[in-house]
Amino acid sequence: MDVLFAGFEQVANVMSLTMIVVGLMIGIVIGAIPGLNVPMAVAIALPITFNLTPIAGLAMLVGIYKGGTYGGSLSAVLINVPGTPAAAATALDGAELTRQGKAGKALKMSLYASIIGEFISDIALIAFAIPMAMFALKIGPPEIFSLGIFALTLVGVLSQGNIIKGLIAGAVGLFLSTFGVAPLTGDFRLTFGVRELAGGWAFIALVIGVFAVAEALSVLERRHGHRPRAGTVRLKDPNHCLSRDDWRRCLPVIARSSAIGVFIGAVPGLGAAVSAFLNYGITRNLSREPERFGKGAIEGVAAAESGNNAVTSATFVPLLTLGIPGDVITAIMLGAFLVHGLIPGPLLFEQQGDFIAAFFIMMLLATFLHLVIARAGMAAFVQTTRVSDQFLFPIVIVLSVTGVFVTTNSFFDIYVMLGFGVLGYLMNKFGFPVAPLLIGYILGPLVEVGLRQSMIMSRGGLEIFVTRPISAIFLLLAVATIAVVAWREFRSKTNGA
Amino acid sequence: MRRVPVDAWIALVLLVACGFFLQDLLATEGTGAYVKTTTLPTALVIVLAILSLILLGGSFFRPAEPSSNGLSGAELRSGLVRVGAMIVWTALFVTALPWFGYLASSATFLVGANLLYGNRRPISIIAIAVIVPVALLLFFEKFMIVLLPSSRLLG
Repeated sequence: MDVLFAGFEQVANVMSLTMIVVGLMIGIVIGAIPGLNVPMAVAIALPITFNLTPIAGLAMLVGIYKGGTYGGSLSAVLINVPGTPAAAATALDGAELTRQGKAGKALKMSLYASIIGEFISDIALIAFAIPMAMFALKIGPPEIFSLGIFALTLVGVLSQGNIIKGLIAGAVGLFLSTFGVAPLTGDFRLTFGVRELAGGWAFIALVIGVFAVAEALSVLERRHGHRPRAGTVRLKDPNHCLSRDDWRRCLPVIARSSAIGVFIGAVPGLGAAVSAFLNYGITRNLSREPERFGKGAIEGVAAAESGNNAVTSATFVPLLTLGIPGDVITAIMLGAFLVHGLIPGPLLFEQQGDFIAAFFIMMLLATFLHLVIARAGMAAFVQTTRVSDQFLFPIVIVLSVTGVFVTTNSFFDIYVMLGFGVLGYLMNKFGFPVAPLLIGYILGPLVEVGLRQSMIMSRGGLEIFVTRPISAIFLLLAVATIAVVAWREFRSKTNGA
Repeated sequence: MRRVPVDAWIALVLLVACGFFLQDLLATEGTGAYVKTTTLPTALVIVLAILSLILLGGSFFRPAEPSSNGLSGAELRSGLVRVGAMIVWTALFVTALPWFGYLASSATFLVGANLLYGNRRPISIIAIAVIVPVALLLFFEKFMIVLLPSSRLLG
């Protein structure tokens, strides 16, 4: 109890609270702007934290992390431009809800799902940090490979109704991820002598291209289909409010997606984008009305957002307990710990009990303040829907070009973004789903590295994937997913005949 | 005589692309124990070729799907012209960035893009062309300390 009070004293002061608020506000803005990413903002803010107390400095970085992970959904919902790769899953249904005049509903669900996901993640970090870390240590290359295969089967789920086109999109996404230097050996492949292709296709160029540029081109083709221009958009209007039915549909989805997100966050190297798409696919697969997804299903927004934000606190599990950063952001934050003389690992819990208590209280406080700040700003953000397409989309293209340049510092990648924009436009026009392309691209490196490392571990034997229990469970889930997809396709064909 | 369906054309383009990538991969010497660096991409190209063949075959048996989003022939053609013009205009914008710098290139691009989107109000076009690039430049260079392209010609 003394430790708890001592921790509370470290957090309950003006400086720490101000730093959380400043961090959240910066994070939300950074997350909402395509091209600006959370690692960049955390890296820029890192030196500022050196002059603060350890908890105040970390409060700012945690605020940026939590705010930025959520902020990506704002632009994804409002203008179909995902601010972060993970928000691409939110855009699939969120942007459609905005087109239907229900932007407020999508934004509210996106925020509440994010907050619940974060809260569950905070609790998991506080209560189960050490057992979760022990479990995460059991996840090796075979498990990563099998998880990747399971997630890839969701390509089929997201392609229902046009399975061949969905599979083609997924295969193209996987294939695109194999360009450039090969993992493990460093060989060049599929670069065609182009130096800029050595690092593969820039993911940010792919995401912004297939969403933002493709949307801008589609709107330009229709041109007369301007969005309705109304007076001030009020979040209390019925179209912008969440109904009891929405909550009934979404609460189980949020609970499940948060739990999966916590698991993914605790495993180093997976990240928020994998969690968002995996949860979106699972939710669609388990839904009784999968045909609603992609057409404005509120559960799609809930699954993607709770899954993506549930990763945030869980990534601190391997960092705090084992000293292993779970992703790029916690790797940068490790610097803040070390500068203040805090060495993450098992000894941190024994020797710095006050700090650990303060850190946990700060995480909970950041989640609460996140809700307050984001909810207050929502009324302003939703007014974006009043802007006419003629004004909005030229600005979106300039923002996209700027975002890609800022991230990659390469003109080549801007051309790549334009190319992917044309690809996305053609895919939309000819009925190819975009989500499998992104899933394939995200999972490609995981699957390839997992496969190659596993084969080295087993000296070429494939049995490693079924003799390790966690890997075998993922493979069983993959088989079950394929069976469900096949059954649904068969049933829809027989019903349609 | 029935026209060749759009899906068939797409499948043919994919098959040509598969052939191109396959010959490059077969010419590349992969390294690595048990699974070579070229194994996964080669397998994916083969899978993609098989899926393209299925799409090609299926396209002749399925009824043609309308892809015009309810637009008439003339509207569709003018829409495609606008899309083509925007792609070229954006490519020119990117090409101009290193030569004329961020401010001048973005402002010029925004004027053209606004016209393509049907905005005919000069004051709003000029306002957007001035405010947006200046605001973005200030935000990125002064606040985020990230440099945007400067002009090789204008200094």
